[in-house]
Amino acid sequence: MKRRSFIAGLATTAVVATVSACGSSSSTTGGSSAPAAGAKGGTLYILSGTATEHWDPQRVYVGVNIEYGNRLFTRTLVSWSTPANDTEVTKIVPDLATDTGKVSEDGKTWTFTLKDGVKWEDGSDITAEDVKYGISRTYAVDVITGGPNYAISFIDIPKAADGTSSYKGPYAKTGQDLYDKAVTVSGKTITFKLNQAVMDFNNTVTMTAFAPFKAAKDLGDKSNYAIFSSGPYKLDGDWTAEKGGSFVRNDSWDPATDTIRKAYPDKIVWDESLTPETLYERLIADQGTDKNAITYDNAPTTALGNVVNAKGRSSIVASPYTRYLVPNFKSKVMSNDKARQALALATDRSAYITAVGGPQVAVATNSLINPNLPAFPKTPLPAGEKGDPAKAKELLQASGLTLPVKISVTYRKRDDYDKAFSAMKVSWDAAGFNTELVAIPAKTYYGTLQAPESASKYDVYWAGWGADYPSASTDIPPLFDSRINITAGGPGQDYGYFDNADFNAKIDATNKIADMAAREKAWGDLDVELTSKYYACIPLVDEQFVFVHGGNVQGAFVNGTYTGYYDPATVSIKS
Amino acid sequence: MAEVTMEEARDGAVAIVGRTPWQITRSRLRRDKVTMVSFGAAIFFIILAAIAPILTTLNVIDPYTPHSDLVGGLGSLPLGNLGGVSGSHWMGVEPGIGRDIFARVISGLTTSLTVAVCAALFSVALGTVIGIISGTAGGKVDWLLSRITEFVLSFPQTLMLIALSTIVIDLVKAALHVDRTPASMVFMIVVMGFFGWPNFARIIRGQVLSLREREFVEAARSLGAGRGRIYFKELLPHLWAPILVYATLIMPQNIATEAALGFLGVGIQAPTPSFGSILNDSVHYASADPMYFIFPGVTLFLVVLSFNLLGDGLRDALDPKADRQ
Repeated sequence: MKRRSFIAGLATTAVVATVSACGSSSSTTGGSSAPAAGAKGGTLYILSGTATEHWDPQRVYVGVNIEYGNRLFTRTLVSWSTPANDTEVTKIVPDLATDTGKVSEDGKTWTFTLKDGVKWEDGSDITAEDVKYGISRTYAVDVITGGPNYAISFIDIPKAADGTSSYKGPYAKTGQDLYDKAVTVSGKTITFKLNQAVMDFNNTVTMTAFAPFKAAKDLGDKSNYAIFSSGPYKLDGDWTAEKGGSFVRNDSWDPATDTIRKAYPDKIVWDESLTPETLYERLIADQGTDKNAITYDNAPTTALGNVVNAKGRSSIVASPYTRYLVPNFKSKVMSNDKARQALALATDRSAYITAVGGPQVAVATNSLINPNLPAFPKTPLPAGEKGDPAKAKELLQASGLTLPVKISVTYRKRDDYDKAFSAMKVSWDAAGFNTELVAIPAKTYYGTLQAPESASKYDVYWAGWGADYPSASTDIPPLFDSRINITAGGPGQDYGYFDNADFNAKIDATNKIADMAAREKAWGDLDVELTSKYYACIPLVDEQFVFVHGGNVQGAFVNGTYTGYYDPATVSIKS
Repeated sequence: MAEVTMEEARDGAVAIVGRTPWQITRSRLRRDKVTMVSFGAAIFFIILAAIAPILTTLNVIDPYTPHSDLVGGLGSLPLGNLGGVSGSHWMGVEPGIGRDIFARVISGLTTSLTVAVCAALFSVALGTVIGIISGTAGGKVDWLLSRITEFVLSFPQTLMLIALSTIVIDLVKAALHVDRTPASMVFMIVVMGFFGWPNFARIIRGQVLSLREREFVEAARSLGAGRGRIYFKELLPHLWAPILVYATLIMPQNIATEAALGFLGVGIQAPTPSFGSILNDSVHYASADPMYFIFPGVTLFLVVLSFNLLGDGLRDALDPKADRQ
């Protein structure tokens, strides 16, 4: 998934393993052991400085919006259970479906059956046709933009000559018969025919892109913030971009059909007009309505020193994100193997850690894969946390390039990153580089990296990524498989234009491995090749999240397995 | 005392010499303690800004080396009191990286004052030329230049700076073959200078309009003086007063603009220090590490104050309508 949050979980793989091993469904009872029931009533405030780009379920790709959308108004066939504390690993449980899905022996056919009594906010039934329609909207790629493409990748619909799907979505209707053959509805049951074995498809289906959508309510692009609820809350009035909105109870939601959501608060006010600095000052001060507030924004580095004042209502948890550097293979300097290796050797991760707030919020790593994933290869750092500029200089001198070697390094503009890169520049320059730093504002950061002109301007890029769900298949190919990324229009997510036929062949071989454990180990091996053979990726740190909530809030626990933020499903307000 | 006859008075009298405007100004200034102190302070800051790069090369100050051992805990705050103040770090160290704040502040002064002074000079030069031409030419030329002046005045300077920054800096880098930091500085100087001239041109134009009908200009013209001679030898000497005052008053405004740009992320690229980037970072540490905000904040305040007071004092001293002493 896009650089923001994701699901990183360990035991989920155990569930996935069970499913794949027996090739049959596993039915689990509802949410995890919830804490003592909270008080009903009160108003929950969700404060943030991060604007929501989409609420349209097929366009949501940001972890926060997936989780919060799912918990408030976008139920899915299956979803994740709720944690009883910040570290509990949660599992996939039925949401709109009666169980967590039935899969065929070959892993290519999945079946889900809807529960009785699940209704839209206008009282009409949620049908299997609604689920089929919702997923079909992903195929209308020119209108429904921004969401994940797993439907297109996995569902068995032939491709057109230009590589795109032959089905163009429910608006154009071209190839509708092909979609109708692959996704079939019979009463309350929906069946998916996949083009490959996807043993963890029910994992994929937790993303809101696989949520139902009522055809009669579809306004195309205008549905972006037109929330039509299947969950315990519905939008009260309008949603204003960059400001937020309010939610009240959805009376059509039947709690008997929902084992996940407790829906304690009567009302939810979502305010995304703040800045992270201001909202953390308010949360720590804990006055007035801020006592009823939670946030999904990570504490900014400047607020960390004050978090100690929020005793008992703060959490430091592993985030699903890894930050890394990508050398630009199209630049003269970084196409030189020894130069890339020298850069990796001279990278001072301890300086980065200090700048972002210390070892509690960042852990040095030499793997792109998050430590919570089974594929994590535990690659040792080439020269310790501080790096070895002297050794790097020897390499650079042997590279054939003239010292000092001028390089241009980009990063997303942020005060603590200014310091991190200023400090790393000291080590790189000691190794014989002449580093120019280029801070690019957040709004245009990835767009700049993906613009073709950038390939001739910059040498090294900072980037961040988190797995979409607990498999490294959502780490390695999306970022380093040149075939699905590099086009005439730019590098896609392979920002450094890494293009290696051997590596691509190994990706294909890994996808074919049937045994999940062996497959994840193979992904781990590919990660090691990226970081220690090709130096196509220089991982920096695994970031930890720091959250604070108000003093009247109870039941706010971080669901690390499912996006890594406070899970609103169990939150209540003390009266 | 003894009576003096008319003849003795005429022979031995002390010559009564009229004072030049400069001499009047100088004696007024000398009496104005506040302005003299501000003048001294302004010179002091300018000298500090000028020698900072030399001090850095000689390793007397070091604004770039991180000291991760001097910060720690959750948030990497400076260890020790007052934000890490010590014998080797007079203003403490920066959170998150441990660089010496004193070194960063005076190096930041170099960047900020260079941009502010050059932009001021640019505005003044351009404004003077346009103001003189406008005031003396009259007619269609004056009308056209006045409309252009108003047009430029109506542009929101800060928004233009933000919008143009990335594209123009890359252009400057390529055209002048310089690094990003000098390119950013050139960019800010040109854009700030370009948006500063209209106000000044109007002042100059006003002055010129009132001067051009005076007898000495008519005399020069009747003696056959060309336009260039009139502009530079007759009018300009009378314009130094507003030029000087405006230049000193636009300085603090330029410093503040550069600081604001740092806030908005359109400023000098790290690791080069500037007041904008320092304050932008330190304002968020106001509760956790207040000295990190107070030291640079107070320094900036003193710099801006000294230029403001100097400008005010100069304006009073140069005012021909003030009381004769």
